[in-house]
Amino acid sequence: MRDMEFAAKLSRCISGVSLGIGLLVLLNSLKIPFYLYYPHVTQTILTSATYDLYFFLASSVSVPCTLVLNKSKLSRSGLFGILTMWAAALTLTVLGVRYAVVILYATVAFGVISSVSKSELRGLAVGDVLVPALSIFVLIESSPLYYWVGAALNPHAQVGMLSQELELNLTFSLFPLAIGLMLLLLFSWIALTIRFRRKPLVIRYEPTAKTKPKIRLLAASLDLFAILAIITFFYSYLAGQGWIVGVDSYWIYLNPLNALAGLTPYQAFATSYTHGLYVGFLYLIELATRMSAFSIVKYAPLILAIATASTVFLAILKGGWNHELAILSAVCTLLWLPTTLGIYAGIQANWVAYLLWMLFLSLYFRSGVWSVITFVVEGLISFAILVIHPWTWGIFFTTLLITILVSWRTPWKDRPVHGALAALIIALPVGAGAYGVLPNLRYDLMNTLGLYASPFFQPGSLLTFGGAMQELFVNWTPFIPPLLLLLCLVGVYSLSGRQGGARNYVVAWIVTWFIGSILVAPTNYNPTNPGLSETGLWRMLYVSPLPILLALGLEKCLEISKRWQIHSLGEKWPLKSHLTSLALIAASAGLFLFDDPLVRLAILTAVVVAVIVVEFRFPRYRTARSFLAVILILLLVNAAFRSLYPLLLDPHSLFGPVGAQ
Amino acid sequence: MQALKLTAIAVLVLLALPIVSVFGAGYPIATPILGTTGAPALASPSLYSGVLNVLYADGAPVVLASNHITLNVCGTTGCVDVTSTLKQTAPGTYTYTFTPPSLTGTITIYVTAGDLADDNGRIFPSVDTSIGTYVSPASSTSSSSQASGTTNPIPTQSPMGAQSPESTQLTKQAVTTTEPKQQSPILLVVLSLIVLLVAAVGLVVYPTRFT
Repeated sequence: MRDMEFAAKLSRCISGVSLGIGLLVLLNSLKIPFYLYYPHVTQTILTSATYDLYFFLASSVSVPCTLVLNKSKLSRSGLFGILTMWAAALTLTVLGVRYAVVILYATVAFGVISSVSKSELRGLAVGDVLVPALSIFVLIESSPLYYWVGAALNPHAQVGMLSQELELNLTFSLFPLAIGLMLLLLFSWIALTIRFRRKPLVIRYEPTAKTKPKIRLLAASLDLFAILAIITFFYSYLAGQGWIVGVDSYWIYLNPLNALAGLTPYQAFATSYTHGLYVGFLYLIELATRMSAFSIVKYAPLILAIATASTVFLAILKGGWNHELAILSAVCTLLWLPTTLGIYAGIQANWVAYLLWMLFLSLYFRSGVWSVITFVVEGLISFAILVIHPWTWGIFFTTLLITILVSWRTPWKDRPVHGALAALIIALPVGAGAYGVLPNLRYDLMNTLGLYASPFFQPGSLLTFGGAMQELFVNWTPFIPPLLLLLCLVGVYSLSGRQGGARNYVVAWIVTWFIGSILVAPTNYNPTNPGLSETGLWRMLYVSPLPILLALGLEKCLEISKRWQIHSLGEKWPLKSHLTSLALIAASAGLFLFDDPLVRLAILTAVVVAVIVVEFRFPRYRTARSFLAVILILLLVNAAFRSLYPLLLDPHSLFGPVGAQ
Repeated sequence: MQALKLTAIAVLVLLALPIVSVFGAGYPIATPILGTTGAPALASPSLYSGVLNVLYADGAPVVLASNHITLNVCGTTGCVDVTSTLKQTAPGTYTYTFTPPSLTGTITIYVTAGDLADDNGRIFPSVDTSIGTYVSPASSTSSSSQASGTTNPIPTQSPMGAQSPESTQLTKQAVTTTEPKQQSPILLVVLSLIVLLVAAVGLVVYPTRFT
């Protein structure tokens, strides 16, 4: 009996290997086109095209093994049918028939499904299959880390490109679906609203964060955010670059800040009109700290990154969601939008407005009982957003208004009304006064009113949305990896099963993002010259709820992975379960260092065998869950460094008019 | 009722969104990067020459669709369009030569926005990009230059299609591939490692000691 169990487990493990390596062979044979800076086709080669194929063919022997082990649970005709299909697919693949790999992979997948579905402990059986399969992807996802570090220290060396390219080709194999995924995300509010209305609205909102705050956990979380922010920020400067990165850094911030030198604070505020009064605030910091304007503009993103992650963490906690989701949301904020896009584009005023928005949310979610102090502070924050970045204030306030509508006739209807009133109470009179008094701000407002009024005078321009969306996926691909969009969609699914004020707010945020995207798409987009025009869609992407949806998606995936483990171990994640992952990350250095197919094959074989041995020797370690968590985090890390990599070669900074530099 | 709700949402957004800032241009990350190796120099008594590096944002070399380029050469008094021919010397590396126009003082050479294209048809750069400067003395003999264009005022418009007013005034500067390092990279790495090590120790200690 024990021998049968051993054989069944071994068969499942080999099936897992087959699924893992088979996916690479499959994608490599399909040659899926994708666009990143220039056109590519997927080339997912781990060792060499031939060795990968042989590895897959050899591991596909798990199909007959699985069927033989489960023969009592299958009909005789079914058994022979699958075996015949496997043998035929194997032969056709060996003969080099195109797309035979697809049939072979489908046969392996079917074998796995039939093996797992007949198992009494289905979750554990899935774990047995996934451990070796995921180990291959841990290798692929972790080897680019060495490339990113090497590139940061010497951007022109490009050592170990293969590791980075394999990860890119694997994760961008979903590129043909990217626009569809983005559209599904944009339209997801419809499904969320309909589902919401069908539910009985009787559950009262009770924040779980009312329990005593775990100070040590908070400190550890902030520590983590600081680490990630430092890594993300310094990545572009590790080779000793003497410039400031970011498109807007010079012409919007540094040059205007230098122009204020010698002025009194009042004069500075009156003249610093670009992007609200943010440059004026920078000037005050310069006066107070005696730091150079260059240093202030350069290091501002580091402070903003830490502060934004911390406020997102706080907002999610106050929204009644758990610590894990709060940490994940903050990490997503640091490794994706808005941090990476904020560093690249250098849109500091926009970033500060986003930070204040999250600060507002942490108060808004917290205020279970109406209080004057909270109301006034919320009002002040709203006013600050308005004067620092008026465009973001529009998105922020609209989201509050839509939250009122989404929460209408629900137990959470009062808070958005209070929030909207707080957002208006100071911002409306003082903001109107500020725009009236400061002529430059008024000019800015009138100018932009004209710009945004154009869709009303030219409603046909709204029809360019499709073209603008295509352009977004040509010009901004590194910031919107399709796999992350897929995880966001999982997040939407997770959101659909939730209730509460925070949930309503996120739904309203998706609505604002949706309508805002349609309106902003024609801005600066010229359908007759798409190569040189720039749609404003990325602006809406920056203030979208995507990082939170991604965090929800990651949490959902990790929640699902709980089924792959032995439940008696409780909820804690012992460090031992991560040791295998750490060993794999160390082993992936071999893939970074060696291009030789034989060496890479040796590394792959050693890793797969070692993982299977560990799985048999220590079955109670949650290796599969740990692998999944590592893969998901590495996906984010690789996406972050890939989007920041261009800054190593060029700061992408813009300057003023010709002759005025 | 549902339709009414949707209409209300749309109206609210339309009312709120007009409060915006004017956006700039030149943001797309996919645009190839222009770089230079060294400053333009006199290749012969009446001929300036320079090196242009053209890379994609991932560092891959760009193959240009055409070897013709129109350089916008600007001095303090105005700008002149000069046609030049590019010669590929290595993957992603091209040399250009041109006869200097009759401008004096510090002269800046620009590649005009949209003047180049790669072999996939992608047009770049997205804004006028400075690829080098040289000083032309007042007694320059290059007044009889073979510049193809006439002297123009300093450009304030780029062929960018429908753009916001600010975007038409933006320029970029091509980076030199041998960018001088102002900070020691080793110092930065050591500093970062110390910070990360301290933070990581704290991260490990906090949850295990106090839970």
